[in-house]
Amino acid sequence: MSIGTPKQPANAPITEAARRDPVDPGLKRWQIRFPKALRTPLGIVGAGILVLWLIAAIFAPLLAPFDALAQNFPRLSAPNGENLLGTDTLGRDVLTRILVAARTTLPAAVFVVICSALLGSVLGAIAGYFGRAVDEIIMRIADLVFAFPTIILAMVIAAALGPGLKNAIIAILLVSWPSYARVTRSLVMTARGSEYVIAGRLLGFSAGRSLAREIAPNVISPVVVLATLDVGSAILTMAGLSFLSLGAVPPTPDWGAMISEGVSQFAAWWIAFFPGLCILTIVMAFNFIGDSLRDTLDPHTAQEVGETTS
Amino acid sequence: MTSIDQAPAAATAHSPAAGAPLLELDSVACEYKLDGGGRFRAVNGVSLQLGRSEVLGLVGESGCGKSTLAKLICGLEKPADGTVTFDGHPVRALGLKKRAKELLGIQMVFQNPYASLNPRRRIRDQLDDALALNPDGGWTVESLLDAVDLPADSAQRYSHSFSGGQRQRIAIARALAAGPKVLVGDEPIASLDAFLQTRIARMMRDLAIDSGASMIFISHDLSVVRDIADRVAVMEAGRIVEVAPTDQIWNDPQHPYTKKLLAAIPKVDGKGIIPGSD
Amino acid sequence: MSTISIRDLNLSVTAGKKTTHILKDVSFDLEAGRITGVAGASGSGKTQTGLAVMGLSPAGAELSGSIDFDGVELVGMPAKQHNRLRGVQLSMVFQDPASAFHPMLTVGDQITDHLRHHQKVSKKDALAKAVEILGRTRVPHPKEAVKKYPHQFSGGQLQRIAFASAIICDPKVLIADEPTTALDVTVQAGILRLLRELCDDLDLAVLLVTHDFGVLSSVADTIVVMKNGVVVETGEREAVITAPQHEYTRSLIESLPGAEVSP
Repeated sequence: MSIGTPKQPANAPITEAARRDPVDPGLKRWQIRFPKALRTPLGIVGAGILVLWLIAAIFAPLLAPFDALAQNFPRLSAPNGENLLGTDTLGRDVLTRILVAARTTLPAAVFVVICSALLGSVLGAIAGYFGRAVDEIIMRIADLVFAFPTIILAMVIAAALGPGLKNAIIAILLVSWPSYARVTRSLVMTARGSEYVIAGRLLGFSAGRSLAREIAPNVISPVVVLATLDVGSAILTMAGLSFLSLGAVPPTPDWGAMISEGVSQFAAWWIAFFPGLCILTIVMAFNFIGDSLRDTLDPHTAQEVGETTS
Repeated sequence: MTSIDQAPAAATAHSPAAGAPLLELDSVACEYKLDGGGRFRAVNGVSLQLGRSEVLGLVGESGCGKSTLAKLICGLEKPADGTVTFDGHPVRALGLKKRAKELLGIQMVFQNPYASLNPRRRIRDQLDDALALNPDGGWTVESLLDAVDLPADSAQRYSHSFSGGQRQRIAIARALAAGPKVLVGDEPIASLDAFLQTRIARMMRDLAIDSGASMIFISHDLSVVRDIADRVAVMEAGRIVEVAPTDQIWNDPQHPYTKKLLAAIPKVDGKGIIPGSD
Repeated sequence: MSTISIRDLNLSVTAGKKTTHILKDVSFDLEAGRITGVAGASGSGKTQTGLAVMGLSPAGAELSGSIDFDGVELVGMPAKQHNRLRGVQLSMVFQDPASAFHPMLTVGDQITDHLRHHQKVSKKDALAKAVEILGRTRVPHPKEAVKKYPHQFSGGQLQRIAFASAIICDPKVLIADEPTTALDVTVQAGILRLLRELCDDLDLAVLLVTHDFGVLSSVADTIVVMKNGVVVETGEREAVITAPQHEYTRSLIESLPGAEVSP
């Protein structure tokens, strides 16, 4: 079976639910458009913050007041009328650099999480469904990765590959897939023995089809939730690598690198404070969305959530 | 090409009906490995036959091997010995491949209604899977739901909004939709309320017989089996100790174990007699 | 005079804005030396009635009415006081014996636990009492049995041990919630006989919750039939089974396989 197959129905239950959701005439327009899975107060706040960040990242070239690399201003000037968030040690505008950095950090984090979720859950599903030797090999490799603290292993890999955004992404991918593999494996193992899966096999489903049709819908939402929560930690790990000069190469703007720079300039609090605030808000936003998905993707609680908010 | 396609169908249509049983178990055995080494024979030399349009009740106490026997019939367990033959085809154990086409005529209803439906798929989708096997069976999702006394709008719902008895009826509908020739019920009523048990058992029997199938109904409860079975097989410690028409088992049991089982059933007569007291 | 007298017992659970009435004006008595059987389908409130007597109603439940236990009012009794009664004067046996015991502790430790807690008996004396009581509930080889772990017993034997644990503090009331439902028929008869004996010998007031009219017909003295939290019929065993007054009782008995009801 191909890598994509078990992910195929991934979004199906969500989008389907949203599409078939009868439009309640009492609802306002914006509520109809809002995905049902996020209709909790936390989900709305999280999605709101995320949308703001997306707008900021997409329109950064228009919104950013200055050139991110130009060293045109007095060094270390505190926030003022011209440089709203102050300037850094080289006289670059902090606001501009934050906005430009969002353009690389956000897509990179989402990309790395999607890749590791795909890789991890496919490996985990294979291990869980087929068991025996395949299971042993995949899960022992996963254990090996788990044996090291994430950031240390990511550092080692990034250092070995050399600094740079691409290598940082590879490093994070390599350290983060095992948690998906482990979750997916145990979910698949439980589901494999369930009577509904056996009933499907008795109806003539092949192993692959039962994995994709019967098991995947039961596995997908925990993985989606885990992935959403993981975007936050991917951003943090990436910032950590940049902080240790293993991520984006200067002078490319990056939140982690900016904090790293700010640490040595303690009096100029704004250099580290504002990128830190960015990381905080974006990690929070993803965590809110993840929590909200966790509550709504379960058919048991989903109905209650639907009833109370609509 | 058409002649090749039609040949097996034509063969099953008249020739074996002459006398060969629909399902035949010939000294079947099944073993499990025990944790401490050694083997446990859950099923030990069972020979049974199931005719067409017949309901066979299989009774025995927990641990007697009746569920293992059901799995053997469906190909979910590999026999250590003996053969299972369905409609002239040997039943092979189910591996990673698709189940052989000629074996799809054996379908099963499981014990636990809470695990036998996929919680993340709509009822309609699950019934459609089964209907795809048997497009000429004349069933639709609506007619299936109607046959098991559920409203048509159930199709749009997920399993969690149904009670145990309703789920079990959906599971019966799904098994039925596949157009089975043998319907195996592995304790399908054991986890239901006593007052529902007889109703669901009778429903299963009627639907199976009306659609031209045979049924093996496994239960620990002799009194329900008495209600629906044509013949009863009594199982003890992996062996079949007695097989006879239901009336005969009930009124004139031969084997001591059958007698013991019958004597243990409390009578609903209000006399305050604990079974087996005297 | 009744050991326990339940009058107009109401139980409702509020979740969010929705209030569910689980019991509505339930009234009946439990008398010493008699088995009162409560029958009903799942969701009829029969188990909740038993739990209310034990003071084990679910969190957020609103209980009103009266449960009089030898002149002591149990409804509204502070939890601490109820704890002192539970396991000593009020005891309970559950449906699934396999999950009623802790898998990692010996049977002896588990059945003497509340005896030692409530009556400050020494470990040695408690164990001696456990052996005696296991003998009484006909657990084979009681001396060895106290040292064994739950998984070493069959379901029927575990249920006997559960009964031993329930009566070790000489209770006045025993609530048995579907005690034979998880057991095979041949084992069931033995447990029913044990229940009858304990009730007669120890003068226990027994509340037997079950959905099985066969069980009620064998051991119950009085039968209470419940439907949706309401008592629909109360009466002597033979009268209720052979000549049910309420339509619902009749339908339940008629739904049983092979049951004949005299009109």
